[in-house]
Amino acid sequence: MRAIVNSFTVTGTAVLILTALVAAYLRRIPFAPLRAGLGPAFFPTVTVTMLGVLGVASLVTGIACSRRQTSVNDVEPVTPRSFVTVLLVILYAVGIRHAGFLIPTGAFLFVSMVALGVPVRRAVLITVLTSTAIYVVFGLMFRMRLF
Amino acid sequence: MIVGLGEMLELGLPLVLDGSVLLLAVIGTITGLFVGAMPGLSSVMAMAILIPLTYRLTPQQAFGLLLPAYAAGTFGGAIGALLLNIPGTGAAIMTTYDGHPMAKRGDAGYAIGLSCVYSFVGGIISAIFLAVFAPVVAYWAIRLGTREYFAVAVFGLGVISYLSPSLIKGLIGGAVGLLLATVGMDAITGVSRFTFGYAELAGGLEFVPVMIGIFGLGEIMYNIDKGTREGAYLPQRFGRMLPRLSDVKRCLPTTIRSLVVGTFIGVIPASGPTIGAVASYGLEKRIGKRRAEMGTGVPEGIVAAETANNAGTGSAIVPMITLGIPGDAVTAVLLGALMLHNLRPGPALFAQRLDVVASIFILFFLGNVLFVIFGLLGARVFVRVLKTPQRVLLPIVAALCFIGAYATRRSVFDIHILVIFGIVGFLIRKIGVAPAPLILGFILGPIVESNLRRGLITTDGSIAAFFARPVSAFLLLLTLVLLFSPGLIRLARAGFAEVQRRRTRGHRSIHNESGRE
Repeated sequence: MRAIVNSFTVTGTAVLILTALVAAYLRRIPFAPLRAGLGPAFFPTVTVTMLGVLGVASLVTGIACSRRQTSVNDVEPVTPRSFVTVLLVILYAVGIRHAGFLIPTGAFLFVSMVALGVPVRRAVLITVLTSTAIYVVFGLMFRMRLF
Repeated sequence: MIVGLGEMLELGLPLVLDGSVLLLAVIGTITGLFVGAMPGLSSVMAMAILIPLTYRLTPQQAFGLLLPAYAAGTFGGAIGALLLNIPGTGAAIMTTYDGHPMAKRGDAGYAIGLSCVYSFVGGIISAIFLAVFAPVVAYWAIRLGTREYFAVAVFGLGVISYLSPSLIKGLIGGAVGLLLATVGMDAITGVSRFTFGYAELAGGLEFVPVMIGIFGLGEIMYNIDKGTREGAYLPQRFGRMLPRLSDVKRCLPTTIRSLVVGTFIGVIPASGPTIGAVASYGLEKRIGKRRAEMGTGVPEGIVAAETANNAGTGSAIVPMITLGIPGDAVTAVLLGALMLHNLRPGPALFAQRLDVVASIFILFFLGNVLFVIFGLLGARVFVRVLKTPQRVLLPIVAALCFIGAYATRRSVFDIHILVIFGIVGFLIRKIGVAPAPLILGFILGPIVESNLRRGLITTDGSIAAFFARPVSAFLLLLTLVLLFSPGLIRLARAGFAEVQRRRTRGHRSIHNESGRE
């Protein structure tokens, strides 16, 4: 079972899930005949059909490769670091929504640098310098509202 | 009428020779060299982050910043390739083979000098090619109809998928990109598609946050996840930089071959400078005088790779500016910059905004001149850039991605789009799907959809009509051959092996029968 999990089977499964979701949504969009300009659902239907075929092809390739023991580019493992990276990015976006740019940017820079192993003092210094530079360039020069 | 060089110089020079444009060109060059040199940062990423900053600039100022960054970034990739054995950009991948052994031998300065000078040679020739060839293509492109445009866009998608590490994954990326392009109001019927009730999506997904998410934030997250790299070891001795006359003479055939290969491969939609460099290095390894020594640190290896990759930069702009089909990921981003300034690439651009076209040609030429000056004079400084640890640099660039995505429309919604596509960019890299076909599909989506629908309506739904015109038939057949060639080659090999087996069996049985007799 473990051998079946490779980058092709993962890609194929993800694509088939996406295909199913898009196909379900497409039922809400009208499909018109040729003389009526083919309708807004025509091209998404063509694309999603293509995607479905490719998803199956990817899945079949992955299974065939695992059966033949052929070496395939295996899927890279999702590590705790992956989750932390994604979480930090989401929190930064949420922070910007509620508190503007400056404070969340400073917090994001400091936390991510410390998490990556930069000494705290150095991280503080770089955070202050970068935040000031961002304020001067974008806030003062480009007149962007950063708060 | 085909536009002449004189006319373009007359129109473009006064616009380009402006203090602000020249200052931005210098900033673009330095940014390109810095970003190109740093592994983990790429010129696509730099362009993606720079584009929102150009929103309030004139087209000349915007391209004054972007085009020198493109030219310098392509050369800058060689610095990381030579000193760290990690190419700063994809286009510098072949430079590692001979460049790094030469640098390790103690000739780091000479390797950088060779790369810089031959990148300049490639870049200048490609700038001339762009200025001469693009008006000719634009002149002929007026005659292209819906079916031809559809075929060119499909061909571009086919090529980029074919060149991806896996054809299936490349095609999946392209198809997802096409699907993303359908988000928003349908141009013909006005019906909303995939907007999920968000008014911000009515005009479609905004190009800038999608692009920064996939190429910028996605790549940063992927690099952080892989583990950051510490500052690099720097060479103690820098030595001579300018190429020796004996090397220039000996490398002349290599230079000419690389110029031809790089320029002509670069002009093929969706192939770009990387493929040119790979093909040129491969050719040199097959027919070059010092083919046996390739890979050991010979100047020919650096010359073949660096001349070809920069020769492909200008020619990659040709399909982008004349047909709206990008030559590579960077030109896809440049296409986004054109659209941000309400400029539609294609033959109409040559007729309506020749001033912008002329400025683009001149600024690309200027960018090549600037990077050779800054590259040679500031090489020691740019080499020090490699000492910057990624654990400091990557969070800063991530923050710039957020500000870049916000800057264009000043919309928090765009930040959400950035985060979603940043995560998508991160995850697709994890499963080995290249991001370039996805972005190309996203850009080419409207061209493919509108021309397919119009083509089918005008031909009463006949698919065969797309094969009735010579240009569209040629391109569509070529795409089919390209996509099915891996399978066809496998089938041919299997067939050939079967024939061989049968022949051997046949020989044996004849031999056995004659033996029995």
